[in-house]
Amino acid sequence: MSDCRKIQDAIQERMDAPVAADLRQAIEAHLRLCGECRSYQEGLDAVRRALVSLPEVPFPDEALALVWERTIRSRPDERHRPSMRFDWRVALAAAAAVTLLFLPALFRPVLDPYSAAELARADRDARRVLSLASQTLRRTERAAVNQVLAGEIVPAVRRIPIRWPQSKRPDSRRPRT
Amino acid sequence: MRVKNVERNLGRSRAFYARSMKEEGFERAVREQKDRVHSYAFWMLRDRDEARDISQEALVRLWQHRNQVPDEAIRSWLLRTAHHLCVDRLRRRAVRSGPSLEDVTPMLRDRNPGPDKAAAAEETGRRIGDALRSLSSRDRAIVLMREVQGMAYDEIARALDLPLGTLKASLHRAREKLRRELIQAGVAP
Repeated sequence: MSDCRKIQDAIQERMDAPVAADLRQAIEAHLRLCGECRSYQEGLDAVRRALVSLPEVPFPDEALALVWERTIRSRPDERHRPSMRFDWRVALAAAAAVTLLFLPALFRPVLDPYSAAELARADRDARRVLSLASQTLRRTERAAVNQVLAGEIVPAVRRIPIRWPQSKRPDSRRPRT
Repeated sequence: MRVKNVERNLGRSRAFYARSMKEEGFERAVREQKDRVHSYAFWMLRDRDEARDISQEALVRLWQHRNQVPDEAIRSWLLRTAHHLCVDRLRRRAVRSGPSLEDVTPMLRDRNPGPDKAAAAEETGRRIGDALRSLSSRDRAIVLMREVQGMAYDEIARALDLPLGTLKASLHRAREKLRRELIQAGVAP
């Protein structure tokens, strides 16, 4: 009986995987002599045949259609919607970008766009222009005075203040009418 | 700027292509495995509606985890998911009898069923189905995965979270019990 138990275990082992040659020979020798173990093996073979022949139950087509609807035929925006989870790296990058964008505006009053040399040159040019304008004005005024004194032109408005030179006062040249 | 646009468009194309390949692979996997998963769920539960619901759920979960499941592990992943769903159903529901074989017969696949052959298959299916119901849910799962689905031992062990020794002992015990059941039913000698 003990041998039969061992042989039956070995029969099951042989069903699962190939066994060593000596064990296989021992099983065959025992089966030739033992009807109970032969019956045991035939029963297991019948079980295996019955299980292998167990009919496959096909998945219904309407159920498959529902699977497609819930998976590859679902709306693309639902299938591939990006994750809305908070990502601190994205937030940090966005904050850095905004800071860099507005940084020049923050320091614009402090930063002077012109160098000291440029400012000095502009100051010099401005003074020269003012000097030339002043000289031109003085010449024009002097010429007008001379023309009035020569009687070439008569001032249209007598109230125009004219700075008469001391040596060229009209009283000294002709009498007032 | 133009180079950047080209690179951006190229990146989009690659992403679209990768996504398309994922979808294509998923569709192929579903077509290959759907009947296997459904059969497993049906013979675990002997209930047509529950087997359909569980198979659907397992396939949808495969879609949700398609980026984590390698191609070579799809079958065992699906069967493991279906198994857990079946165990949940079995725990939730009270023990009740499954549908009669008359309900099952129209679903069975037999490409050229002659009258005698169909009757014999129907009888064998009913008896083996009844014998399977005599097993515990774990032993039934082991038998179905090993003998019907043809899974390797390590694959079953991973799917059911069982040590290999426990798995083999359970399988041997389940075979013996099935043998006794089929002897009583007159199918086995």
